[in-house]
Amino acid sequence: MGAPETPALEARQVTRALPLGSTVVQILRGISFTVERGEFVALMGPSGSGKSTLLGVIAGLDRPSTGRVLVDGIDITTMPESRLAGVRNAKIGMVFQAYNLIPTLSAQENVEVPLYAGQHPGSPAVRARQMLELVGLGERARHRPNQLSGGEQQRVAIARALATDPAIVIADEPTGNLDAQNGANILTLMSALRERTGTTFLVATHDQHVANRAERTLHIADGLLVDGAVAAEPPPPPAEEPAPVPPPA
Amino acid sequence: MPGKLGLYLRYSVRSLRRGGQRTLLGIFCIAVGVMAVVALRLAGDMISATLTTNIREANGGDVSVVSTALPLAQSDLTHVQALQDSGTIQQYLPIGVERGTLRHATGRTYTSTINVLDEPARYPLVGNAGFVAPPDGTFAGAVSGNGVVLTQFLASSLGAGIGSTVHVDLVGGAGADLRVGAILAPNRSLAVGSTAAYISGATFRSMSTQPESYGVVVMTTASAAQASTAAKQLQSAFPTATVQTVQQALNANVQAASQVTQYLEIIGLLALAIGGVGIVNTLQVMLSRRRLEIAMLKATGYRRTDLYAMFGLEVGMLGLAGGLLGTGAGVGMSLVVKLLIEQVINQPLVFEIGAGALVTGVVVGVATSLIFGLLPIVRAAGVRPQEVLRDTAEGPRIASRAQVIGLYALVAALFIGLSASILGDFFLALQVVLYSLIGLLILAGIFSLVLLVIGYLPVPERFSPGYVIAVAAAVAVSAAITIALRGVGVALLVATASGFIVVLLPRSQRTVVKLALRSIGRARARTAGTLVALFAGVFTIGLILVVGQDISSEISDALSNLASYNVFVIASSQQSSAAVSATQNLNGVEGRRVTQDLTTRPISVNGASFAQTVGPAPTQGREGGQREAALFELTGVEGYNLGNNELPGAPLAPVRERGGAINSGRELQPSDAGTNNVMVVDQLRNAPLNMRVGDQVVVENTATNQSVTLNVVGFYSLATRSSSGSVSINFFFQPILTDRGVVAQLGSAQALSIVALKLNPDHKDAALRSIETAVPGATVLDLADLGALVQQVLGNLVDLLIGIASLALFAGVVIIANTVALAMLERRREIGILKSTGYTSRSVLAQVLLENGVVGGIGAVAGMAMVSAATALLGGLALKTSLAVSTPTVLVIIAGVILLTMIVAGLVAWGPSRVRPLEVLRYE
Repeated sequence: MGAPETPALEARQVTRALPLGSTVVQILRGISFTVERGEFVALMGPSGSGKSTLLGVIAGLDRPSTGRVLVDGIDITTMPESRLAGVRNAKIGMVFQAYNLIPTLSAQENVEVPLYAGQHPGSPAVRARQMLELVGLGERARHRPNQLSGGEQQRVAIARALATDPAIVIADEPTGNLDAQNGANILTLMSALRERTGTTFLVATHDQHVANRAERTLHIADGLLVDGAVAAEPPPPPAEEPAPVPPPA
Repeated sequence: MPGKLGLYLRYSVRSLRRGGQRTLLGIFCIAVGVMAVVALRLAGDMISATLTTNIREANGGDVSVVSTALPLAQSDLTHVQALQDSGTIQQYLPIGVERGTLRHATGRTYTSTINVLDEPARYPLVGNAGFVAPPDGTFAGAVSGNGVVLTQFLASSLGAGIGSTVHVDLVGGAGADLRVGAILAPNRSLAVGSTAAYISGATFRSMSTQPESYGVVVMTTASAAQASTAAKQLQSAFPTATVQTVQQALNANVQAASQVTQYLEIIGLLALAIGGVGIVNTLQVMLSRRRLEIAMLKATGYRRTDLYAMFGLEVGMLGLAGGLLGTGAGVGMSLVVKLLIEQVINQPLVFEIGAGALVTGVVVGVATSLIFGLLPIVRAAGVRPQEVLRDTAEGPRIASRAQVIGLYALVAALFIGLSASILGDFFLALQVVLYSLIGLLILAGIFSLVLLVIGYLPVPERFSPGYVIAVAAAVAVSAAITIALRGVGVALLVATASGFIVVLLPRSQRTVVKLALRSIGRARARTAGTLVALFAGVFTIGLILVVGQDISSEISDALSNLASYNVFVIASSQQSSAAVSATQNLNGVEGRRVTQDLTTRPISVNGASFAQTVGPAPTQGREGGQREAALFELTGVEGYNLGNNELPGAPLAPVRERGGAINSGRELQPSDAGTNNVMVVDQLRNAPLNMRVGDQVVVENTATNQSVTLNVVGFYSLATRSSSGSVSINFFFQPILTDRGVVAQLGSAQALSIVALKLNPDHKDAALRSIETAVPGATVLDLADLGALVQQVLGNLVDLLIGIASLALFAGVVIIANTVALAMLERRREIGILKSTGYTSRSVLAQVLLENGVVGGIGAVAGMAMVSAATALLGGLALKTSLAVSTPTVLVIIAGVILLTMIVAGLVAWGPSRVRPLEVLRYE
């Protein structure tokens, strides 16, 4: 992890244009913002506003047409694909709306997957076990995704995102496929994890309830940030004393 | 690293298990290719082992002299004796070579070479007897007291065992009941031919009054150098004989074996390549289903190299499974191929399964999977996670096009490497792969164009003048094609005429047709690949079937037109009068002719020594073939009672125009009686003799050395074609046709009397029984048996070739299954949309069936059109006959392929077509 004063994420004048037939559509029009370490930031916007495109660019899955993206102080904008993969592995955790677990692997193995991609200290199996226990699924480690409920699958996905102790966890509509109760549980878990581990969260959502859990909300419309730092309701206090989060071992 | 490898292994194994039907198809694709390579390689190895094992024993000694067309007389052996006296050779052993018919009590009959051993105690000169039974027996013991030794092939063909009694009729001799004293092992049979029998000189003399002559003389030398010296001197002494040292025999056999093995391996490689295309398709399906997984892996930091390793491991395991299965199946298949080859060449093969071929099978399976898996693996690892996770279409990239071209080049280079290691010849492998690749690319290009056109075919709501004219023009073109290629034309007529029918269909069905046609226009490269595989299968099977059928019917026609005679009775001079009288008053005789036949040796042509004119025997090549033909065509006279107006009926050969007109002369006439005028076969007009009408040939009786000078008055053809196109084979027992007076001059005592009969089929069996009772020592040749034998051999050959070609069709079917599966996967959302707008599972399935039926139809029509073109070329250029492609055969093959593709597509699409629209539209 970078120096404590380095922001977890910094986007500078990011633009993204995509060809659509014979025309080129400007999806992002120059977006700049910073996410500090330990922040829980929500990214809100209507469909087609450029939310997912922005998430893809800052997660290193896509490249901006212009502008720069720095993750934990590292400029990923022009990084070659092989190094970018390393940054994604070490610095970024991704949580998707559709969980995207590998159906042939157990919960434990799914969490181990990123730990085998890069250089990580300690035993991947032990670390994955700790992560599953952290999200409350220690007992379900040997289950396959099709043996888990939607909420449980999303918790495995969160454990997988946290496994490499990333600088930032980027979640794209993490409650989108869940019912209200399970959605609330996931948000509670994310808040608690943030409290316990100090992990930075950037969550894209349509849902005002999700945004209400964030420290601040970025509103995006038509490829532009409407207001960069809208204050949100303060996050709810942790219900209990947070349990010690195991180090990356 | 072990943990990582463990995860990769678990992932690979589970993914393969999850692949289910797709994984099995992938394994089958590899297994089919490996099976072909292993089976054909093992068959090649068996042929190689048969030809190159115990070569000294197979040659009979360090030097062998073979002169079966013109057997050596006792006096000729003085040359060999002189070599022994001078110390050039150590020992020698002459062997008589006769012909005879063997009949077992079961009724099974076989015509075979009979080897006569004057000194069985010394046979074989090198090695041991090599008996299967009794294992420690000797030739001396086995042939003593009316004993006969049979090769294993001959014994099993006759159904005879040790101690069985076999009735043997020597051609030109009497018959005798002989006891089977020993059975010769298959690998020893090769030296003498698989259908050989051995008798002692004493037995021969009790059956025949003919003086003994020797077709083979074998000898031993102290060194290879002495063998070479002896061979040179023997060749000079016997210019018409084939003299061979062990080294020459080995060289010739190694070359023959390597050519056969290489040919079989090339066929195996082609099957492997088609299986490889199947693997590409299968992996494309399997990895396409996992695009989301791959995108997620990349999102969590997996590099391309990680994914290459993961998928490479998976593909390697797939290849290993396919390799093991294919190798196992290949061993089984090799037994079938061995049996078929044995039946075709009438020669037993040494059964041998080398560990090398088995290891090669597994390695080839893994290597082929990895080579052909490269394309889908690299493509899968190259997915852009953002586009997959957001489900947006991936746009074309210049870099990815360059990458695809580079990958194809890499796959071709790797496959050339694999082929080179299998064939053991880099340049041959390069040629095979490059020519195949060029051919396949041209085919794929043509099919792509056809698919493009079909994809844009209009399906109008109602008839319009333009549409009617266009369809009518297409029907007219199809009708025109029907004149030249009937079967293919009829299929095209049906296809084009359906342009009228489709407009009359209810709207819902018309829409299904429209969607099917538009779908054909998509993914053209993939569909073109499927078409190439289908085409290859249909073409090879179609060609083999059609040519096999044609040759079979040509042979049947030729045999039925055979010079009006269907039974020949061959009797020695002593039995001649008995044979003639026994055939005089038979019921059902519609034609009869008696000739006297005598084996002769050519001495000179127009005063020049025959041996000098034809030169020494070369070891191989065209020149050798011409020399042998010239020798063969002058080694016997057939005498007719010309004065009694019994004429040979040999048709005059056409006048040769090439290099100036060469006259064919005239046919023999009654006025030729009492003269030495002869007709000879038209091949003698070619090099090396270049004979012409008016030439004089001196021939001598091989037994008595009595000679006569013959005057050539005409040249006849062995095969003629009538105006109706049917072939007639003109069958003579000896090649020089003349008056029986010539035979008398040479010495009638050694002549055979041959009574040719045209027997009514209804009376044939009774007539044959009557002849055998009246002249028990005569050999009776029934052409129906010969025809049945030829048809059986041809049938076996066709079965063998179809068996090999079926591998290509099977791979084509697997590719279709994969292509349909991939299309269904890609179109899940589309199917959901169609269903949400009111389409049923049945209409979706109908669309898939129609689409694949059209694809199958294109492949089949193209394949059969090529078969028609190939048979026309083959018939016109190579076989000099017009091969007809039967319309029902063409239509049955086309309909069969269409049905097959529809069934396969239906089976694969059945489940996906029943997808619930909400499932795909909401959750995918």
